[in-house]
Amino acid sequence: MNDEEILESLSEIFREFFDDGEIVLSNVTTAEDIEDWDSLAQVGLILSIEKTFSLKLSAAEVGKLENVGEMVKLISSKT
Amino acid sequence: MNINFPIDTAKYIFKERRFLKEAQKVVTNRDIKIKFIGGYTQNSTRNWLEIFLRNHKINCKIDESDWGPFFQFIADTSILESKPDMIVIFILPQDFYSLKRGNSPITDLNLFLKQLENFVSACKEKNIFVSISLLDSDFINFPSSDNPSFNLLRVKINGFLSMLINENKNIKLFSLSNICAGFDHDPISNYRDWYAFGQPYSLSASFFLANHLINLIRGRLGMQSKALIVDLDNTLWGGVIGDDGLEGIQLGDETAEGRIFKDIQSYIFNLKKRGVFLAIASKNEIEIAKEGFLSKSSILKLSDFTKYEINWGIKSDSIKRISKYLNIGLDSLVFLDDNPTEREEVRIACPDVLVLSVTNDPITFLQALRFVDPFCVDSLLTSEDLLRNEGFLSKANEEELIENSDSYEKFLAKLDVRVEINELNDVSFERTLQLNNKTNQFNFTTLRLTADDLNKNMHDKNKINLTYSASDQFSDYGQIGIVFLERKSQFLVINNWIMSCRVFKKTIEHFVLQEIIKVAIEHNLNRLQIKYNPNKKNKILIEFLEENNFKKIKNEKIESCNEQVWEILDLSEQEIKTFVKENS
Repeated sequence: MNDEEILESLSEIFREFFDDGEIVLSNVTTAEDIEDWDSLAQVGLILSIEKTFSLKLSAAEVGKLENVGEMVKLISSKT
Repeated sequence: MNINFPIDTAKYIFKERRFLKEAQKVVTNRDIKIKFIGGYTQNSTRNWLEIFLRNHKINCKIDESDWGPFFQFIADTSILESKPDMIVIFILPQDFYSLKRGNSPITDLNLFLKQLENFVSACKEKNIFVSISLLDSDFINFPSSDNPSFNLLRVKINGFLSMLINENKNIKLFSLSNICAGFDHDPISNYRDWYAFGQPYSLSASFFLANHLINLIRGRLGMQSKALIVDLDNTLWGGVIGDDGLEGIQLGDETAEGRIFKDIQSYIFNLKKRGVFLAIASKNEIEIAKEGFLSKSSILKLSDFTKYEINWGIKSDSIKRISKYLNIGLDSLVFLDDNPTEREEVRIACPDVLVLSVTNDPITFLQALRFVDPFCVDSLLTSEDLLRNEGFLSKANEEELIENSDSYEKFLAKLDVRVEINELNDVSFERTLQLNNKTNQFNFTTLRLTADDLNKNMHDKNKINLTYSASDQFSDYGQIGIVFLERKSQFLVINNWIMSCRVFKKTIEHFVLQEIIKVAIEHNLNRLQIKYNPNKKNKILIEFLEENNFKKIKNEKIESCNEQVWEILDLSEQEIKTFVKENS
């Protein structure tokens, strides 16, 4: 999967998770840009990402995911 | 929200936010305030509880304490001043990890437990319902040598909690591993989610916990179903009795399927012992179907069922007849059937009936009964609930008596109904609250009083709160009614009057009216008024008011509700016909 495909998959996860069909992610999207994306949403979001991409993230990795670009990089390095 | 079994929790937990948004659109008709204490990150539990509550038309405000162990928040009882209706206290192994080195946890523990006891008794004073987690399995198993083992700590805390509930009916304990048992997922969070998010429970466990809490709340509010209607073949036993015969059906310890059906029967039998009515709706030849109960492994007997409809007719018709016979509304019935076509037919014809969404795997019957918990088995049981079943069993005898009497009046005279009236007191408080919450038909205003309102009523000098219980030749019905009276200058006003539908048509209400008039006369009040808010379910009361010479004197439309006042103008000329005698 290339970065663009990962980004598209992530967008889909976000749209489903936040129940907002209009969400379009880019590498610079951060929690500031999406209203419901707070630390409490992070638990379910990470679980959803792990399931979709069949991977496991460590506690340290989870803590660093502040923007979508970093998520893409991390997922790409693990798949 | 209709949950399908087996539960695919992932399907729900990934859509938590969507369910929450949907639930927030539901129009609610009552409010509840809940406070979570301890538990670290319980955001998911909070959200699911809100979803479940709103789906039951209950608006809620759920506050979480700050992040940390429970004992940080219970030393001070000032948080009770915001008057929550319910408090949930989370006691977790992690709470004890933070105890400082050199500070023996057992000394601290005694202090915490003392504080917990004080906190809980402050809750009791304010009539706040408390739900506390038992200390479940450990998380890290620290290899400490100087401290007592975690298991010892656990036994001590759980033992202490079990003593607390002995003295206080307002406390319920839960164990997360119990709640999740049998459902294919781990109740405890993994290390990653604990360290990264402070989540002590897994996300699916939060979903299950919230479901447990809503079931407790439903029970407290009297929102439990009242009767279970079951199919027979492949529902109470494996196989078809008409084809496989008594020897061929699966029931009992010999096979896996037989063991499942045995436990299903056991579960249902226990429901009956708790006061739930059982009935059968089965497409079968009656004589053949009855054979199934003759199996030596059958825990249930045909006589455990108050009514059986075994015929080749449509099931929804059978269910309607059962509803009529038991005098229980369709919205208080639960239907269990392995056949999806039958379930769908009932769902369409009787949308108010709760149809459990199971598969043909009988394990899902157990899961659905436990998860949906239609009868709120973890909630309080009153002795009246237990008596109720006995009352109905005698209904058959009663019907015989009617047939042998020339008229209904003669029947009533023979029935020898006795009523005892008392002032509301601490003993009848709980049952009164329950009647107030769940009675719809003989309920003049359907304004639901809270425990707090009821308490105030009890201490108001101008108010007279009369409870009454009834018995007849066949059964003791326990407390079945409550009248809220108030003195206002020369008036005696009935603010509300509630009676259980189980005792209709016995002229008990006429007897009570006669007693109310006596109260008015004793207090030198010459006029009697009653408040009445008519709605779809309490229409029968108009007839009662009219036949007893009440005249409508006021009718105001407030929002969508009609508020009426009716009055008997001349109490001295009032003649009431009743066959009830005072119980002395």
